[in-house]
Amino acid sequence: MAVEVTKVEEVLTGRVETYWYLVGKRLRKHKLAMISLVVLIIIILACVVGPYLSPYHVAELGSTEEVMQPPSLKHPLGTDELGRDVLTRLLYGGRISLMVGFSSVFSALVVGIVVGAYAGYYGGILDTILMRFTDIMFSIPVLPLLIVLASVIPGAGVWKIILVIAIFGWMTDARIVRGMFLSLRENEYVEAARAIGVSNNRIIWRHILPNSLAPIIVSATLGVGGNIIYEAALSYLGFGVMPPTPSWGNMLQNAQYAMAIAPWLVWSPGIAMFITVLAFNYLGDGLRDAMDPRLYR
Amino acid sequence: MERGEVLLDVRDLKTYFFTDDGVVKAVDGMSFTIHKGEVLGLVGESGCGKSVASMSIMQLVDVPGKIVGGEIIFKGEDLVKKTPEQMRKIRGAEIGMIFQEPMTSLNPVYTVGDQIMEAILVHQDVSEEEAKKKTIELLRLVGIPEPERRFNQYPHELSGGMRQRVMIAMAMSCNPDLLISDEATTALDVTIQAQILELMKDLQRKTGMAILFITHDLALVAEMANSVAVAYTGKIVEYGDVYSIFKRPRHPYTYGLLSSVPSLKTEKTKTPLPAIEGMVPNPYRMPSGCHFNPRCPFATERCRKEMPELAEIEPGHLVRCFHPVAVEKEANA
Amino acid sequence: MIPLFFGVALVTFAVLSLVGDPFAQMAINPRIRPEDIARLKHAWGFDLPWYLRFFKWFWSMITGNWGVSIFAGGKLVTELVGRAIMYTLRFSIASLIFSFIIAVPIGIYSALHQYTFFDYFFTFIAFFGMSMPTFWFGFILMMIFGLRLRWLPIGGVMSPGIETAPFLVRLLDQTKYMILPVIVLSLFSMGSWMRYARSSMLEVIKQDYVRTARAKGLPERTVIFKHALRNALIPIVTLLGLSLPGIISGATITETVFSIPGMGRLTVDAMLSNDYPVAMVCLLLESGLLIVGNLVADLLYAVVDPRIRYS
Repeated sequence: MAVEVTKVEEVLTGRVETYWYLVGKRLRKHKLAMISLVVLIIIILACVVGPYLSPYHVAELGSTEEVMQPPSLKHPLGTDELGRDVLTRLLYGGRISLMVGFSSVFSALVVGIVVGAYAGYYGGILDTILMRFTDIMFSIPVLPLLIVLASVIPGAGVWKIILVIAIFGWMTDARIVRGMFLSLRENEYVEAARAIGVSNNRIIWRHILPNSLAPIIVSATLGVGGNIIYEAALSYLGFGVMPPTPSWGNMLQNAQYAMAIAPWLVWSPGIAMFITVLAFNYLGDGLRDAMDPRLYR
Repeated sequence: MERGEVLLDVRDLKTYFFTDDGVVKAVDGMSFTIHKGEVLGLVGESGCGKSVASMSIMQLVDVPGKIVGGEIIFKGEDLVKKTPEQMRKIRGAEIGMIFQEPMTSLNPVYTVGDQIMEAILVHQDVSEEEAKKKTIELLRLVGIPEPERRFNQYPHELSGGMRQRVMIAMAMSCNPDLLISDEATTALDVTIQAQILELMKDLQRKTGMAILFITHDLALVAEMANSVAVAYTGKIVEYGDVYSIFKRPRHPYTYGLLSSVPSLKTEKTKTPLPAIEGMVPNPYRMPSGCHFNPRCPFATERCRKEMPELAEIEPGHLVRCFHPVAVEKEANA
Repeated sequence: MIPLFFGVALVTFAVLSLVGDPFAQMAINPRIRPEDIARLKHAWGFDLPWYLRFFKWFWSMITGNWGVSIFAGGKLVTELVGRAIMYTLRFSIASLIFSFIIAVPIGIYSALHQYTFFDYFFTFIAFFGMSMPTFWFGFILMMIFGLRLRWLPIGGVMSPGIETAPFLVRLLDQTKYMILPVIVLSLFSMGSWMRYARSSMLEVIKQDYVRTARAKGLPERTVIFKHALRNALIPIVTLLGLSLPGIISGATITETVFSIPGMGRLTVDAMLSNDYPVAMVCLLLESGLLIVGNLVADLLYAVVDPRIRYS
């Protein structure tokens, strides 16, 4: 498919353009996706650099007059019940939430790709076993078990959350990859490679996998957004990131009790999360459109 | 050969596509006529506009395409000026169309019989009983064995050739005066292709309907058509009856196409198969003057500046070229 | 399917064993005699090795003998689960119907009128729904409608003291409590159904058989509703089957936010307090529903798509 696309474009414009160049070109036309990309870059930068620039420390407790202050010039987003600056905590929490989002998606992806690639390429018994296993994992209700795992595995670190989310997140990617491999392995270039004597592993990783990247990338982008919400849900229920380390989820949990008197505590983490996830969703959608092979006809 | 009266007269049809990257003049001043009961072969490579022309006749051109000029006179009336409702009544009833991919042209969730009956019921005022009987008759007519059983089958239960027969049955269900066949046999393998062509010829003889036979395959044209129109980049470059075109091609493009068909002569003399140099131009960047000039061995300065008009070189034989005589010399050499 | 169920049961059993000894807390309590603990252990079969325990438990699950909750004062598990399921089902089914009925037609209309204001607007709504963290949205709604405007209650399932009122009054009252949770629950699925319906319809419209239908001279309405829609609904209907499992556990967070004593809460509470019997039953029900849901989805697919039927 990548070859065909190059040929057409070469004919039309007299210039050899790779698949990725075309994807980029088409993505650029998608205004919302580009805006989302910019927004995400801003958010990521803010969360990484912000806490260093802030005059307040994340865990800096305020004096009793500073507790529960509505937004003001001194504290642009107000203070929480311990007098801590909400804006600083929001940015720091963003770091945590984003890191959890990216890492969990990445880990799930690694497992999912390995399982899907081998199942799809070799087929047969290996495929059946791996798919049965995937089906079982799919059939287990996620949230309850997430909670169990979160409470059982020792440690309160962020890594635990990442691990836990990844354990239940690799199955979708595995299925996608397996599907791609099942169809791609019938292509002639696979037969050609085998005829030359290329090893199976090399065929999988160097030949077929690059061609199946498109749906993986889309799934990963959308997955980051989804996992951020997952982490927030877990933290909200009390099983995610533990205080005092802020994350957008546990900030919301704290805010719950003060809902009536300090609404700003509810708005900020929520809106931050919402905009971030929305941006990921728009970006993922734009990527999906840009990489859709059918639109290349 | 005595030709019947004019059934379809396409005059200077222009259908343009307004895309983000520019305007594509898919059909840029095409003119041809089809007489009652005759088969016109519309030939050309991919991208020459023949499919767009057929969709234009049916008024099925989709956004971003639009018919921007010309007339399509069918039975004395201009189709371009018709309202969608009027056109709908003509489609399927007076003009039938079959497409290239029988696999995907039939709706997979309805039975074959249902889909044919639908065409009948929408245009004719008959009961379901009669429509069903007519459908089974049609299936029999197009050569499908056990039509009663096939009536209740789904498209995926039929082979490619049978599906195309179903398409033909569907297109003919209301006895149209004109059948448009858009590369209907391209996706079938050769033996089936021959059968379908036989069927079409047979039906044409029986019903006296005209066929607009669109294809890129010259051999098929020789077999099926009475007249031939050769299309290139949205225009007709040569037009005439099938014998004239094949025996005395006048346009360099037609000549090139015909020469590139392998024959026993080339096999014997082992001469390399002549191919037309170059490629079909980029629709966004058409060459100036005659669109064929970059590939034409006879091109002159004039060809690069001016676009020739369709002119009659012999009675009934039109060419769009400044030097058809040069081609004659070459052919006889 | 049976082996799948078995496999799932085994895995859930294994994970739950990790949770720990439900009797550990009792052992610390000086007022409970060790003999009593031993007696309880024996009653629940905890003194047996794990594989025997598993089979004993599995058998009792299948035969409907679901045992007694360890921590809810000996109440029958069936009773607990029964009550919780009622609440959960009410909300989930209402939200499923609500989102389906609203989202699918909108999605299809969007596909037919691509690039219009309607399309852009509802695409945004769909994304809104899919990006909004449900619990936060629940908060906001509670704050606005519950605290500020005081139109709707902020939690629970019915007004206190209303049990004795006549049926209709009770019904209206409970409906009032259902409004916010159902909206929150439906949000995400509405968004994704809308997108799904839209993309499915868009893809179908480009198909060759739609072109054929038009070439036959069928009225546009027939082309869209008879030919295109039928095909576009196929993947949507199977999705419906796959959302069945979500009915029980999907509402966990919403239930927590709105303090509804449903299955989600029951499961979580049971797991946290190591209430083995209840937790196991909840998990098993959920997994069972997941497997059944998959089966239903496959069946629906066969019903709707003749191509699948004969292979």
